[in-house]
Amino acid sequence: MSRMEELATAIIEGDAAGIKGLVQKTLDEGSEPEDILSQGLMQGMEVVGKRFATEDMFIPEVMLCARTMHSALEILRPLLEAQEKKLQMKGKLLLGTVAGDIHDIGKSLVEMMFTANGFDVVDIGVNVSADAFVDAVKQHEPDVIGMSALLTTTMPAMAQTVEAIDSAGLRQDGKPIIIVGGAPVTEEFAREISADLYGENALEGVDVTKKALGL
Amino acid sequence: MLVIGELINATRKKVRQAVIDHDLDFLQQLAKKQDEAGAHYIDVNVATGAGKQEKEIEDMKWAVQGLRKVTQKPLAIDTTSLEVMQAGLETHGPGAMVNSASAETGRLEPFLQLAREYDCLCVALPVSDAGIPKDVAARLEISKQIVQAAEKEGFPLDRLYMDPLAFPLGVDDQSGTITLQTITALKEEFQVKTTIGLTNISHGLPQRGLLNRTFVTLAIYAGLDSAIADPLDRGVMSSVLAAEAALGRDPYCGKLLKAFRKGQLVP
Repeated sequence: MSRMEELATAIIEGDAAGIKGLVQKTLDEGSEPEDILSQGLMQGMEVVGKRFATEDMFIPEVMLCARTMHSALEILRPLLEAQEKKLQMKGKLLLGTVAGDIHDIGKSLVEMMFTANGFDVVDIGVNVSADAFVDAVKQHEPDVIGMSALLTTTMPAMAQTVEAIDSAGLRQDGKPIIIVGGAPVTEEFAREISADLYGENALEGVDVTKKALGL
Repeated sequence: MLVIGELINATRKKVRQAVIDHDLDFLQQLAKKQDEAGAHYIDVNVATGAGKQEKEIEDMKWAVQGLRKVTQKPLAIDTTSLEVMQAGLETHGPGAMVNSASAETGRLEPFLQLAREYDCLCVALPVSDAGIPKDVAARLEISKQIVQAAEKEGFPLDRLYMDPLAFPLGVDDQSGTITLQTITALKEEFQVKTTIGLTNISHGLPQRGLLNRTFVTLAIYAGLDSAIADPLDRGVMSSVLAAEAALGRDPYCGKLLKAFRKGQLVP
């Protein structure tokens, strides 16, 4: 097994304890941080995403893979930044549950699935007001904004948040992409409030987002 | 153990479509099946997310009216909206279940008042505007606020079903033990009943039935009085009966044997 395959395997197997040592060893052998990320770790994550989709892997296993990825990035991120290279993630997702709604489990699953698929995820929590979303968009400049609502009573807050982002002029030519989801949310509703995308579940959310970003 | 049949819930796709199409027969069949399988209450959630709140009020009235025709079992009106709750209870008449109150703004006193007015059992979730409390102490703290509000509103505590909150083990491997500890603590601290949304626990894991019935058994030992569950899941229903018999809560094993005669027990 090549060193890159070893890195991918460590992600797939969720070797959170061993990953830092392995990344350091690969660096010491002279590999570039961005190669470790794209040819090793990300390859592993691709496999994880596919196996999860076919129910060959389950949520806790994927969580462990994501944690392993986080550990590896703790070493790689400062190195990449020192080289003034942007972390070559697939994109940045800003994620929150809308005002009046405190549900966080679905959102955690979304965070996990996007992380597992190579996205940089900023989670701004639950009960997030439209203004707080607007501020966070300004601060983090995401490629994708994800909103969750689990109640029919908080779905209107989703519409208000989309409106607030638009009237602050933060969405131009469909960028960043706004994706919505949550148990009562439908594709029809997403269109109605002029969100760009809808995800039936966390994984479908990743799929439609990747397509929309041309990945 | 009070079993609240969970199947009429508009977050399930087929139910959602049936509510939108006003396919009463579909909902009535679901109610009858759950009734026959031994559910004590039949939950009704018609929140499709399509249309405005007025629509949800109309849908709730329609569903409650239609379901009352085919089952003698009382219904659990499942909504976060006070207006929908009121409409459901009005249509139902006394003796339903309020599902649910919480410590969020507008979800506590008004819901307890309705529950008292319509002579209902009331489910309450220990969550607040700040979010879902993660540990036992925080859940108890919010439960205390709810219990105090119930006392103030004159709502009897033995009709208050506190939910210790059950979340997927797949997302947090400690969530099961936190739920169990919360049940025990709720029963020690307050003179309330307890209920859980059982099937949450197994979300995202394989062989969900195995986890559901193992967890319900542990939870009954911890002091669980009720579960919102799928009564058509024979495994869970059998485990409930077996656990109650094993804990000396089924005189002469009567309920267990009755289910056996009806062919409802699975090994």
